[in-house]
Amino acid sequence: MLDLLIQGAPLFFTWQAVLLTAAGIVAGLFIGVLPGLGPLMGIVLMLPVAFHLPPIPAMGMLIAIYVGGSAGGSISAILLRIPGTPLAAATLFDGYPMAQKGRSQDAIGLSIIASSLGGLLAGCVLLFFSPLLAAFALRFGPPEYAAMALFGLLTIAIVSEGSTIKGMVTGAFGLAIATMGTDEFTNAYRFTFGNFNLTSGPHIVPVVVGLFALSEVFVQIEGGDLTASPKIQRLRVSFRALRLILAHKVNLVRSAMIGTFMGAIPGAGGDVSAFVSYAVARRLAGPDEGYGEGAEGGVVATEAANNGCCGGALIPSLSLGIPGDASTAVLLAALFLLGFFPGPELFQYNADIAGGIFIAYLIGNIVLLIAGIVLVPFFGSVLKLPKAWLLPAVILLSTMGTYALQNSVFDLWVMLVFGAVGYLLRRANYPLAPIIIGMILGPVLENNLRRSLLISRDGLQIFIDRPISATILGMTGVLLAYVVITLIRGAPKAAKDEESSD
Amino acid sequence: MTLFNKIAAVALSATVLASPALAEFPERNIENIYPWAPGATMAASQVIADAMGDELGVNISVVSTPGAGGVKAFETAMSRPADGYTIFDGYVAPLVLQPMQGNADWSYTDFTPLWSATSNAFAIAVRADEDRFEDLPALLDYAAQNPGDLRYSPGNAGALPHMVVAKVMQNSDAVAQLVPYPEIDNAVRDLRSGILDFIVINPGVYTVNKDSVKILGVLSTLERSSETYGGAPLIGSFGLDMGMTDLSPMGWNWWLVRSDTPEGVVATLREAMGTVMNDEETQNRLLEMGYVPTLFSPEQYEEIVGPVAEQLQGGIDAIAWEKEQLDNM
Amino acid sequence: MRLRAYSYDWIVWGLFLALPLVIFWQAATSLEEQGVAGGGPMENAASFPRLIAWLLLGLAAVNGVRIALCRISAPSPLAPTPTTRLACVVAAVFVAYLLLLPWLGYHLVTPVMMATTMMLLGLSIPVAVAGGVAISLLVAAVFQGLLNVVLPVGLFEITLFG
Repeated sequence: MLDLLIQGAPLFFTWQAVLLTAAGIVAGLFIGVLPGLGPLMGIVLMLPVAFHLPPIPAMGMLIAIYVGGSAGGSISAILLRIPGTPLAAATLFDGYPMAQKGRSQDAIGLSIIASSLGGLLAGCVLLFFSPLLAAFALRFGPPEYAAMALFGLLTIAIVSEGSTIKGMVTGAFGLAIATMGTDEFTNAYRFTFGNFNLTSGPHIVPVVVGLFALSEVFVQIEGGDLTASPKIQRLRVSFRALRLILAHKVNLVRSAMIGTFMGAIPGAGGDVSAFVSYAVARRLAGPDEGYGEGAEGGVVATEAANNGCCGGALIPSLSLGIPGDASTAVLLAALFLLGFFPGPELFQYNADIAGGIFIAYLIGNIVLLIAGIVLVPFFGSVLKLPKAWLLPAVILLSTMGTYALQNSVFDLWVMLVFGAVGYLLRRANYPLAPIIIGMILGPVLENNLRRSLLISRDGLQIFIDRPISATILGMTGVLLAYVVITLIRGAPKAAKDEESSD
Repeated sequence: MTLFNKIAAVALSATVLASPALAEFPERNIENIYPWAPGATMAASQVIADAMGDELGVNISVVSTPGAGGVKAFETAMSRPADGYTIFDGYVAPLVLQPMQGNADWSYTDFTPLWSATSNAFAIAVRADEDRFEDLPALLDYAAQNPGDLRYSPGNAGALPHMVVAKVMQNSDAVAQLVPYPEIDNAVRDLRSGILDFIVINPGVYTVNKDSVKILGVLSTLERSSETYGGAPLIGSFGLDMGMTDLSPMGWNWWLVRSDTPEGVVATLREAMGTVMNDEETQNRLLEMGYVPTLFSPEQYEEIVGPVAEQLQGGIDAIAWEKEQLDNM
Repeated sequence: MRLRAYSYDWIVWGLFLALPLVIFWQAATSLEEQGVAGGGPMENAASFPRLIAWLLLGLAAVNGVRIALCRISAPSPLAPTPTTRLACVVAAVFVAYLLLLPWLGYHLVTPVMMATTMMLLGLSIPVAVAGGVAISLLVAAVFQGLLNVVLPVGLFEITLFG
């Protein structure tokens, strides 16, 4: 584990990597603060830029945006009762009441510190478990990867917000998109409709940018209030929260671990983990702590969990190549674009890259602590930035970022089409994340399935003969049975839908 | 009308800002349209692009445009104006192979060559601790005796490495189960875990995986190719013939521009690339990465590329033969 | 069958019903012509897409029943807001931008698109023009100057930072 860090250190400790990681945290915080733009959007917008950088500065910047963005959402939740990202939805339960009592300064300080420490704790788990998992995955062959991809897809469809059926539909949609292009086995053109631009399928970047960024711009314009700027209390730089957090040590560690664990399960994601750890903290707390009326513990629990989740989500992503959530799926895409294959090979042959990514993650969380506190006065001003400035900038950045990837105007049309699709799916309450996961896991699933069949002498038998793939498929079967049962009963999931839709 | 005035004003100011239209070539950045996904091979092109850019005083960016066995990159480059600002990174696949297979409607004579860049030989590799076969003839012999028992990967099915190895196996009547992977990098893991018995590797991937693979034979007739595999034996040293010579069984690229590019522009590009390719420092950097500079000048284009097509037909036929054998099992 | 209340659900349902049909159609035509619509795992490029198509059909069937029976928790009516028309105009400006970009080049159309969009979103004309030009130049400086990307030059071959 330590040797990973030692190998990664020379790659990370260059002015470019350190600077970009710090810049990523700051950018992530601001993007997180702005309502509607989450860490995913930040990563998406910067992905094409990262492609033009050396691997570690690129990944450092993207991971820092992921970390900063996951933390930033709490600030608008506390100040405006609008979570900047879904991750911070649980933070407003106690963060906003704290601000109402004139303690917004403390609430923001606590949320930043809890985020940072939660992230660091998760980083330790990441550092310990990823190499172990990767070493185990060295025994994986095509059948195991096919089984793993199936498992990952199913969990994401189930856990993503909205209904399971809709999650499965968008997941299958992602799989279908991934089949476009040149078939790896026959070199035949599939679904290219005679257009040479489609011979490698739609590029994942325009798809992601269209689905998430463009459709968001449209939704935001529809939302109105384009030139309004909200009233914000004046904020100062204060380190008082560093002392306050000491009263919540146990809560912090517990929430960070819940976050890490939930993050490591493909699909669970930060918002779920924040709600779970909040519920746990609230149940364990005495009535005198006043959860829901501005308890410090509530802010600590949600923020430690949603940032711990980042570290957790990186575990399966880096060691297996199976993304934990949509943001890590895009991070994986970035790693692919930079020429590295996530999975056991990364730890085996590019240990310096893996180590550099870990260091970037850890340093990012430390920068978060400092930047988060020092920049507090600026967050208020950013929240005052009217959408009329923000949205055109998002449009241009999306467009040029996508163009820069392959210098292709065709990609911009792909982006536009997926922007429209993303808008329709949002309006019909379909989750978008499974599309991206499906696109990434689609080729993994199909090609390993076909490879397994080529290797096998008796067809699908190979999946049962090999113990690891049999186990993974067994778990997938249990999940599927769960889906079918809840579907027939209909009740529990529908109840959850109503909860999440308001 | 204000909008029109605004556009006109912006247009005017921008034209003034931009340098005079007839200035010396090149006056802006150049693009090299590279036909594969990013990786070790792209880094080799980037080395040449960077050195050449320094020579020309602009930046040359290598743009990865994978798809359809390289055809997408060629189509992309051909859709650009013939002004020398777009260079084709002309690998064998899109330049010779795809037109032969009817997937593209151009021939190598439709392009104006700059210099040839690098070549890399392929080699047959097994696990480092493989003890069933002591040399390449033993492996081929086993595959001939037990058709279909061994499993191998040449990376992408139907691509150049596949042709070369299929030809070698056909000549020895050897049959092994083909398992394609998108890039040969992915197959190394399954070679080590015992799922595959041998793979066709390239120098870039070999350099990274030196400790876990053993090279049984280098698929080249050029003495120099052995150096990029730590001195492993050439296939000819076992008395095996693969029916392909010189560049034909190798991966190589030749930088090209559209044939209607102005002569002056072509001359500038050729001069810069010639200087770079003959520069010792650049050569060493490429060799370290496993890529051998070919040093073929623009004048040698026809003479070198011409015979390749003919010899590759043997590889295409060998793949058809292999498919037949596997289907019959 | 509350068609209005679930408008978006029905539209998306239609899209996801059409998708498998396109897959089957392509498998039967284009893939069949290329000779890869049948055979073993090596030759059959159509089997996996067909599998997805069946999955999508199955899910569409279930989903159709669910919407028809109003078993979906959140309705999705076509409910335009006062600014929906504005969003459509901005989208139209963007489409025009994409159409003109390859012909006129980045430096001609981008400031115009940005200024127009900012104006539409409610900024005053001088502010929008200044902001549009400034943001365009900043983005160009980053992509062209720092990252060496060749932004669309258009027929007039205009570059500023290249």
